[in-house]
Amino acid sequence: MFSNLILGLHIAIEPVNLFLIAGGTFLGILVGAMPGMHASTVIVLLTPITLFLHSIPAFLFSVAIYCGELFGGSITAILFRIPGTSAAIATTFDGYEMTKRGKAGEALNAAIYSSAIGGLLSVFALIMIVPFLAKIAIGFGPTEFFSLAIMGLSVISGLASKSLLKGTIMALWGLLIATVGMDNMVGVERLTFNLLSLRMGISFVIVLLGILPLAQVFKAITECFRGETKEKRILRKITTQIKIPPFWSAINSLFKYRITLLKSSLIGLIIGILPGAGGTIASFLSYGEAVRSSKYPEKFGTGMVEGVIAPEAANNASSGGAMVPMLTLGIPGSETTAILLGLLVLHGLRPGPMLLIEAPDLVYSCFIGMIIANIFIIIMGVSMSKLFIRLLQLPNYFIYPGILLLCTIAAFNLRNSWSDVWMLFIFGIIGYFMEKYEWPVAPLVLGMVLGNLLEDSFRRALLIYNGDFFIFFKLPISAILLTIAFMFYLAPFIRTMKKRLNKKNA
Amino acid sequence: MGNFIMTIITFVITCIFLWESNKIDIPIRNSQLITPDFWPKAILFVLIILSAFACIISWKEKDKTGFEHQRKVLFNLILIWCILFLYIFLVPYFGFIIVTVLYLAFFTYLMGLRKIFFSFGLGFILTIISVFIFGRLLLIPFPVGVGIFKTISMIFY
Repeated sequence: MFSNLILGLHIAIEPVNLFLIAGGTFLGILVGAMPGMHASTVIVLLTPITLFLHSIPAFLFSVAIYCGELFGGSITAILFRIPGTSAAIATTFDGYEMTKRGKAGEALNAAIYSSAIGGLLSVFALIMIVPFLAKIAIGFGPTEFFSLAIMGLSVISGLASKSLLKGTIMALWGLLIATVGMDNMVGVERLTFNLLSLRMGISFVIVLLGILPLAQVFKAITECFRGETKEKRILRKITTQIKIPPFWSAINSLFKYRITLLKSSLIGLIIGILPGAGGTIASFLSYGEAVRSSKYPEKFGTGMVEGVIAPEAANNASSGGAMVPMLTLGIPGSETTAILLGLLVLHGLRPGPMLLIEAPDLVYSCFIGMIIANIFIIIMGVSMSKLFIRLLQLPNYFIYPGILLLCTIAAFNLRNSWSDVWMLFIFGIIGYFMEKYEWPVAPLVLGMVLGNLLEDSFRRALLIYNGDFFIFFKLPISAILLTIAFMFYLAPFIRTMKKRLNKKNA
Repeated sequence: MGNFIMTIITFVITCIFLWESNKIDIPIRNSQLITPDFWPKAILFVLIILSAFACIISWKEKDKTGFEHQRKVLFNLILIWCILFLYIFLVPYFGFIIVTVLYLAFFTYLMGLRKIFFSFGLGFILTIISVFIFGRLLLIPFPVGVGIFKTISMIFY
């Protein structure tokens, strides 16, 4: 292994490969920052060019785009409440609040360094324990995925601290919206109201774009009507006196929350290993865990830097995890890793267990390339963040129509269907009222993310185990995950009871 | 009061979805224990119960909060939404470029740029930049419209 690592290092630091990694990271960050754009789209568009390259440089370039994208989504999530990728949704909860308080620089700094560190830690783990991690991936069946999804949903209790009833209703709506369209297993239409556009289902990205950035645009419009522009101008002046703090303050902050950083990276790595469970689930789970284990859970969602560190570390750590099933088993964990697999095949390689033996130079140079890409994230992240922060200084009549246009294009681009733009604006209106009357957004998003996984796993498990509903408690991994989920859900109640008991005793 | 209206709307929409879920076709040769309608119906039943609770709780609390939206603001907001829906309706007929320029010009004017010429200018620039990046470089097939508007759109993408 050590000799392969040295070989990988020699290949990755060749000038051409270094240039490709840098270029890929930069492109990935740009793509990640744009909602509706995906690294997979860019990798596919660039395939005719990368085919002219040797397999290793082509793969390094594509992997760098993938790593850059995972960080890039956080920039617009923090500055404009537009998550560029679904993995950056959880970053908006505290990141945007920090921007409103004039701490955008601090939030971006936290995102840059926690992304890079999360990515680096997962690659180091990847190098050390690839074969062992592959066994975990094989060991997960439908029952385990169902329990994992339940565990994911259990973080609602932390995300909807103000009103658990509203949070639960929103999570259920998220699960319900995920059922609209064609049934995955039998192929019948469900809840389509005989509309052609609903047969394709309601895209998660549309809902996201509607309830987050579009709702903010509508809120900005109402503030224009209320004649609060003077106050808003003053607020904008405060928020634009933003500088990126020096790196030692970021390191200080990360050291303060080192346990959260490590836990989130571990969660991201483990979740990333599981095919189908990606950075989005990892970021939500780690955010929920950060809330649950914090001494001040009620402060999350008001601008806690820990609320940025947790999801960003997890979503970048998931990139290392996603490489495990892809490289060792030939199973793609996400759309982007599926494209990467295709790239390997185009270059005449066979993804699967034999890849480590047949092409160790590619595998290990990929690991080193990911390390270098994560270092580039720090360098480029700081410079690009300064550029993006300047966008905050633009007047409202430039920013908000621009956001409207970007959301419209992103919605249309998904399926080249104009009916998705109708859906976008409907959810924008819903998102506006949700924010107005304090209905939490996070559980809705979580429900949509986990809905398909939950239902498909549940039905498959019952098919495999002949309708035994108790199978979820009989299998050890599944039972453990359900127990953890139950504890997560009860944690806020237990904490409240403890506080009351302490008050009584005092 | 606004919160109470939200809960009522949630309850009503849940009932509509529950009614629609009865139309889910279950294949005759269904070998599965869990039919396709099980999952949505299970969610909807729980939702109805919780929505009903939420309605009762928000009814009890409705006197604590007033109707937060000023009528003028709400009226203007609804007007904006109507214009937005008009935009979405017109794009497939007049093409992306023309309607988007007008739409962005309107919004920039609304958001504070009180100079019509500059509003149109900004709308035009934003539209052209996005058509170049997304339409030309990334090959996104924006709606071209019909008739002469199609001809005009095809010049750009």
